[in-house]
Amino acid sequence: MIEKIIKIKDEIGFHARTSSLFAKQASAFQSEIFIEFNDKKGNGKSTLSLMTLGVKSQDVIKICANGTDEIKALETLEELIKNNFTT
Amino acid sequence: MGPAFLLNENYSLNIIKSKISSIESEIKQFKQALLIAQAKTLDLKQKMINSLSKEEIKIYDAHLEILKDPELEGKTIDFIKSNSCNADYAVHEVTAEYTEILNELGDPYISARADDIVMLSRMLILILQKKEENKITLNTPSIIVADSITTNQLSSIDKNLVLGIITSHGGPTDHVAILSKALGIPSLVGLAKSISKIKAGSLLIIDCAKAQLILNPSLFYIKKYDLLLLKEKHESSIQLKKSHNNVTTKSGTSIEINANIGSLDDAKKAKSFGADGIGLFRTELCFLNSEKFPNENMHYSVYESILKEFPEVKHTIRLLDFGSDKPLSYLNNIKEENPALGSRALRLGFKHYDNLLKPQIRALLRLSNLFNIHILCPMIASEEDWIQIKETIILEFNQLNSEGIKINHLPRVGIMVEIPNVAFRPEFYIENVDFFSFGTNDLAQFLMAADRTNESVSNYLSQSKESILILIKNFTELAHKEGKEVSVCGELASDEKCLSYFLNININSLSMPPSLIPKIKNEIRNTI
Repeated sequence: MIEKIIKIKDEIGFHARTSSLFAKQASAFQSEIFIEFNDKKGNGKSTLSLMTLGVKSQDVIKICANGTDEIKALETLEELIKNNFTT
Repeated sequence: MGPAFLLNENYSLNIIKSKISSIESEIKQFKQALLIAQAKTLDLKQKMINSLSKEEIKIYDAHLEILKDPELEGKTIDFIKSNSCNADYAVHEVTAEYTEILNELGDPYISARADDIVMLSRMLILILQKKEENKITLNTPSIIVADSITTNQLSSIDKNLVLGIITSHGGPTDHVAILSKALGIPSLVGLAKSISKIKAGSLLIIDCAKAQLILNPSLFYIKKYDLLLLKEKHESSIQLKKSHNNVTTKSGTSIEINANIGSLDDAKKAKSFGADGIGLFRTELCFLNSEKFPNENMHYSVYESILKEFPEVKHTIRLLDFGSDKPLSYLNNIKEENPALGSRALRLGFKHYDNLLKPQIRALLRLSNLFNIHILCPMIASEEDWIQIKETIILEFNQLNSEGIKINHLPRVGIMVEIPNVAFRPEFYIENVDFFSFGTNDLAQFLMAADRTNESVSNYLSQSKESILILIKNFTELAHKEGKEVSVCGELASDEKCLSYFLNININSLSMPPSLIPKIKNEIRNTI
């Protein structure tokens, strides 16, 4: 399993649209993807789960990926966040 | 104006936790319910696809996404397992937890999603309990009065019997307000105070222009609004009646008013609203839900069934304008930074020539024996683009004839003028191209460097109007010297403020959504 700590720069954070974009990208990978924030753990492939975390702009989250394609998954998702969710 | 129909939406669901005998069968039923709910949502989306814009249709995509959410499914199954309880109770508990957390975040965007979850949860529970949703069944034309009304209920309503909708919750930007506007149903939302006083059958008047609700109006108001309604109805029926004739201005300038269509329903509307012809047939809209590349016969039969609705007129059919913004299961879409500027329309068509362009061109050529077909080429950026597509069409024409499929004559082939590089240089095209149609929506976004689908820059688009009018004028003057016709489709075509300008420069035709035709024709008749 690999993990990475990333700061959210998007103006709003994980709201409906960004959560959906993140979940869609995460679902493309075989690995399990989790987001940890404020002692809460969310399923990275679930829009609902990501929304419930309440991640706001400038918050710092931890992404964990576990599986055969974990490196690629983490790279892709990190890229997505760095680009403010524009794909 | 009409009697109130009180919608008792909050009839409560009866959800009791009970022990079950087989966890497996309960989980199976839950999974089945998810699939049924997805199918129902897709069905509603289909029903609404012609009445709503691309943005508005996304409401249904958001619903589908929730219904397919892996965690919602996983949590509910875990709940059934650990409590060995009934699926409807599990759905209720799990979704309640979500909505509670989401509402606590206090973000209006996310709260809207929470409302969606409440509605979908209700849908799933009703499916599991094998009950029907409280459908709105009206016997007489009425105004629906409700605490709130779900988008699903609104979609399944018989639009002919709904005179208006008022709700106690909601603001002007919520889904119901947007949907009812798109459907042309007068609505007022957020009237919590007044609504409690309304009794079933009370006479109501909704005045959307004044955002006013009149409860139990006096005779004075009834007469006043009766008269207003009558006048409005009379005017639109006169406009509709006259709409079936050709239209000229008072001084005798004539212009064709055509319809933009993308479906069978649109073609029917085009005919009933008095279009002179089909000015823009967006063929890609016919195949958005197709599972695989449409083959030649699919193209042929889909277009034939649509054109048959309105057979005698001129049909301007645009070649497929797919792009990476429209995810298609059969197109292995490569993600692009800027889909509007990317590999779309003919660029994509040539990339998948045998699967996309070729079957369409062959089908259109075959249909040209039966209908008056004009082929319109989208996203032409240069002379090379034009030569490539024109030669391709001629090649397919010869090929068909050599196969023994006799095509009587080559249809007219025109350019959709939407890329500035073409709009600025009519002299390169007017000799060899048969006709031109200005696509003002794309032209606006390319001229202003403002993405049409990006709300934060949408204010730029309207500022391009003047420049576009100048381009159209210059183009038309030169084209007319060669005897070539120029039409305008896109937003500007139905902009009443541009009408006299178009008439002055002798534009040959305008193409617009069918429902706007009677009003525009009326405007023209009153122009000098």
